[in-house]
Amino acid sequence: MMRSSAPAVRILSLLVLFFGLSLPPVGASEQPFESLAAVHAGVHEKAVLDDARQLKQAIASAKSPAGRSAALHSFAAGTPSQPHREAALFHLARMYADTADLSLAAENALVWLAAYRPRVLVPHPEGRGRVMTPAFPIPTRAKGALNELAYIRQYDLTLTSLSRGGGLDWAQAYPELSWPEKRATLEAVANSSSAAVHRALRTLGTHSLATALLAGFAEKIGNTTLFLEALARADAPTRSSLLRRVERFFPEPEALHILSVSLQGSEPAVAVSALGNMAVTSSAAKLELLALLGDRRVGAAAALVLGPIADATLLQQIEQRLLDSKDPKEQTALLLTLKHNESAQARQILLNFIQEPSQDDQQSAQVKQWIR
Amino acid sequence: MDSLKRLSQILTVVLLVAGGSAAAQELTEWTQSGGTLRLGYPVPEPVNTPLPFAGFRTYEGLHTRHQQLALENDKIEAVVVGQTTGGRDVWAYRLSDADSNEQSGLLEPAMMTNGGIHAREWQSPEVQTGIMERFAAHADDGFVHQYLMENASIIVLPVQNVDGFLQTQRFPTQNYIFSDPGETTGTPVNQLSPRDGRLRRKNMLTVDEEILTINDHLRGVDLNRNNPPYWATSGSSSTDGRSLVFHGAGPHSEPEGQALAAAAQLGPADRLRMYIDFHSFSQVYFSVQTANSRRNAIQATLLNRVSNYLAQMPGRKRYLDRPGPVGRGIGSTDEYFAETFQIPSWTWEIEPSDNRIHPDLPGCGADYGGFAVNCHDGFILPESEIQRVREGIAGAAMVAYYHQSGPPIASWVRVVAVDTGAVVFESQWDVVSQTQRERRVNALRPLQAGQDYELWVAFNKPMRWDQGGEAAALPGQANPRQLIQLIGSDAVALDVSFDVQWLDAQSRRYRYDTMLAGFTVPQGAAGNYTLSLDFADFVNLRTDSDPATVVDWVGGAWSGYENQNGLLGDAGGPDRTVTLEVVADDPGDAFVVNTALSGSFFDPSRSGEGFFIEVLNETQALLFWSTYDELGAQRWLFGDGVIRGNEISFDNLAQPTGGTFGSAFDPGSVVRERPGPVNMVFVDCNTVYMQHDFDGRAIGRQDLTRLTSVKGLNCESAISRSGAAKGGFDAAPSHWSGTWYGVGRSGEGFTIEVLPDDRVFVHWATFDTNGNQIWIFGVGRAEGEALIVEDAKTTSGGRFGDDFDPELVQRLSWGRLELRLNCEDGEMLYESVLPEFGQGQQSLVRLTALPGLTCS
Repeated sequence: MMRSSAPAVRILSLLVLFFGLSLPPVGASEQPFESLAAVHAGVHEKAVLDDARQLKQAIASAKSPAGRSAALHSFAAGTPSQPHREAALFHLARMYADTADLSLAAENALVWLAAYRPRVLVPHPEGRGRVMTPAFPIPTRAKGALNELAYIRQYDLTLTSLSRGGGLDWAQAYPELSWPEKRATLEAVANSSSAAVHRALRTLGTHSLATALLAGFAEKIGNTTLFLEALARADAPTRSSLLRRVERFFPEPEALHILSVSLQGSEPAVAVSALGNMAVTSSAAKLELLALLGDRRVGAAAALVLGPIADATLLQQIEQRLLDSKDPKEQTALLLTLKHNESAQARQILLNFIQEPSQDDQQSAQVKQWIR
Repeated sequence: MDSLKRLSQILTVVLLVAGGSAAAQELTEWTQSGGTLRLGYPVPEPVNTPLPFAGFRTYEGLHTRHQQLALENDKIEAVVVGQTTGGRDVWAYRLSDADSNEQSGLLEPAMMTNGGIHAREWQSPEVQTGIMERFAAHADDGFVHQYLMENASIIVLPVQNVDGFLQTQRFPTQNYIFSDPGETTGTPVNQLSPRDGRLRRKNMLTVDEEILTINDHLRGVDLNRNNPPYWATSGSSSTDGRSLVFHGAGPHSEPEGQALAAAAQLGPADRLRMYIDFHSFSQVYFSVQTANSRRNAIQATLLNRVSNYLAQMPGRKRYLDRPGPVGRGIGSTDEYFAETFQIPSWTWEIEPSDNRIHPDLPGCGADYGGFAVNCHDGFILPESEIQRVREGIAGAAMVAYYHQSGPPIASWVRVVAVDTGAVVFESQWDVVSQTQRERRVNALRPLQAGQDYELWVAFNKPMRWDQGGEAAALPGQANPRQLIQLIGSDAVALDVSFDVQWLDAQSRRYRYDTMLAGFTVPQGAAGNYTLSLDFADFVNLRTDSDPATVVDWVGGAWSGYENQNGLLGDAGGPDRTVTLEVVADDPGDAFVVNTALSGSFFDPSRSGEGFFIEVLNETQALLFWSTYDELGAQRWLFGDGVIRGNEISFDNLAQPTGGTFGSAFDPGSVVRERPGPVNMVFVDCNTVYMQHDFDGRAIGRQDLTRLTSVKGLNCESAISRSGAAKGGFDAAPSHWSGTWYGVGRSGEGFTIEVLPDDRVFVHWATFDTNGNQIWIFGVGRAEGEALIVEDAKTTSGGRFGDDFDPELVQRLSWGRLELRLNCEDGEMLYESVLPEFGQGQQSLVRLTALPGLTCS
């Protein structure tokens, strides 16, 4: 099973050794076409489909990895038309993925296809006719399909072990999993029962759980404490990803609490945005945003989400703060709040602002463009 | 499989279109259902925030961020450069200081980047915003970003296709599937393509904002096929309005393209030296080649260096350059800029890779473990990657800007004798026109064989990268060249070792723009030696061998860029313009600043302004400089300086503002602005080379000579230019000399010099009743205990810098001053002939006393 997709060549080589496969032949000459349409003009679609199906059958019938690669070699060598050959190989890769074929034969074939070097070339659409690229991205499709196989296997493994309440090695191994396996694990946790997750947590404990997994468990069972613990441990991408789901997994009071705590952290962007979503109906969230206009880190973010929902009373408060504030960052946030409010009142406040002689010329020129 | 069924979470909407098979396609992380594009990673959805985070921002979020950065940073200017097809504003941002000049006075070069031309390529506006964020955060870093913002004009157009971008964000998880008229449709080998919704590429000409209306989803113009000079000349664009590469009705027919051209004028356009159009995906540069082979070669080198840098950043992504053919194109924006302005210009396709170009990488979404179902997922970067991509490429863009800001020159060379600390040689290049510099040389003393010296060399840009507080090579670049030699008339280099260190705090203007090297002149050396400075900056651009001719970008290559043989080209070479004289024997004692040097100095060509220097002790001095601003108002500056050898450096000179004349003066309102340092090198007691390096201005230089000396101080025997006794005055106590200020009036003051003939020079730096700086001066006399200036004057008509004309300076009577001074305090009475000043008095306290002039 793939553990990482980054050093793809090395991994493919290992897989080739493991399976006893032989690599696709190298050395066929490249065949350039002036367009994709020109390639397809020489390809008979039905014949391609038929050949791909027959090849798939031959691979399935072969008894060993060597036999499977021999079938592929044989097809590649025995098909005189390069466009036809590569169209069929490309379609073969798609068939394995589209049918979620988890067989060893499929995996053997995809490994072989991932190492195939396409020879039928067309101009890259942005390359000014000079950069020739394969018409059929067989290796990419095959590598993507291998990722998908890894995803499906890991998903099933995780879901099954959670439902049976045992065999939780995958949880300990999570940090070592490949990208698709990690994603599949989290998806399986999300799709398992709360009872299964509770049971797994009792067995595993929280201390050694990977952050993303801990968050996945917390979301599933709606445990704010565990979720905050995961947030505190998470790196920036994980934290952002988690915060975006808060509203979905937690009721408003808990969600507000989590978001308020997150505002003090190093990644407040998503928290402020989520507060904005809640502020449409929650006056508590709205008040929090109003206060945040004076926050030097997130004032502009609060302005963006508060501006469209600011009413006349709130606009009056903003106008007064704009007059009183000595903090340029708060002034910026207040101006941006007005920018995002489409009312005549907001426009008038902005007009008053730029007519104030003491304003900075560059700033006034910028604001003037908002309301011209 | 049960799991497969359970994963089918997405409702798929299939639309049947008469005569076709168009459909709405859902983007999902994974499902086995039909009608979906399964990515293998969470489907990115934009977050409505201006703050950078590990995900994509909405257009409103990005736009708010741009506006915020411009409001908060006076080096970012926001300008509406046009409107979209849908009537929305297209904004561009100029990242630069307010003027259009480099610090040297030369016109700034301009560089431009464009983003969001293809709506679905969300990486692009994020990277553009990342560039703005990087420069805003480091605008005053005293290093590369500040250098670029002060010496270049960087234009960022973050989102050109605003309408299309908004359309993709309206439907972040949905595509409308159809095929181009030119595509083979409905076949298993060539799937239908996503053409509207998340994967819309074109602008919104005659397109509504609904995804499910069926007659307009193929419409729109490919803005990257809508540009001269290769508009409609290639099979890579189409006349068919339904084509993905429809080129529109004519070159720049679309308002978005017109906005791009207008944005270039912010440079201004004729100063452009580089253009980048950010796209995704393929992890490649599609660079433009023109008929100018020098331009092409410079571009290839530039891209190689940028690529080498990026390959060392997190993710270690290697970008490949795939230059296009000469004389052919597809109607893209980069071709427009390359051919129109003959500048390096390319399409920068952001990651993921395309396996067709990077055979060793999986390609498309598979680069991140995705499924690469049909490689359209290459346009959909996982959210987990965008922060790294945004920050990494913003850094790489900075490297490109730095490269195109131009080759370095050794702008200043100084040699200091280690034993005395005295400057013995100084050379500096002054800009005299947009194409020429002149060298100013002060050869104060020859070097002596066997003696230790310091060589200081300043360049016009930071020369080394900062790696954790240490000067270093830029990641991914070879160690930059740095070789110093002293070459005799026989063309043989002396055996001298130069121990080079790059300076941070002591740098001339930007961190690591200055190097210091200690060296010893070998015994036996004598004669004239050429100083060879063979340096390259941190992208390995070598110095211009002849700074007399200004390097610029003309006709698609560097102009005025000579190698060591004086030949023009694009390679540069060592600077060998400085010759140092070496003598075998001791040339005699060097002059060093002493505590009796105090007095007034002026530039004889600039009568009407002056410098009042007080040497307070062996290491410290005070300066009052009375001059003018650019508009002709009086201006004064003061500050303390550090003495070293024959030099005084006033690095913290202050220009107070916010005061006012008379009783309304509030010391709490006085703000001390710091326009820049002033440096003085004394040839002897009476002759000074002064230069000032003020923000936003070319370095200014004046040769000063002594105007007055102070009674009781004798810098050398028989100094007294103004000291011929005229007799008839009461003896003035020498201890009056010094600086005084009014009680409770910190922020203004008096300089008093008792002259050798007992006249007394008084200089009062204060403010007028409108809060403008003024200075009042006069020569008075002692009358008993009092110091009387009967006819104090003020001036008008001067100008700062080169615009000064002594003929225009008018001396105006101001009124009468009377001071009564004790050892440490006193009082001042004034009676002005100018009504706004009237009459009044101040209690004074002493600020400084001069060494040796004790008061008992």
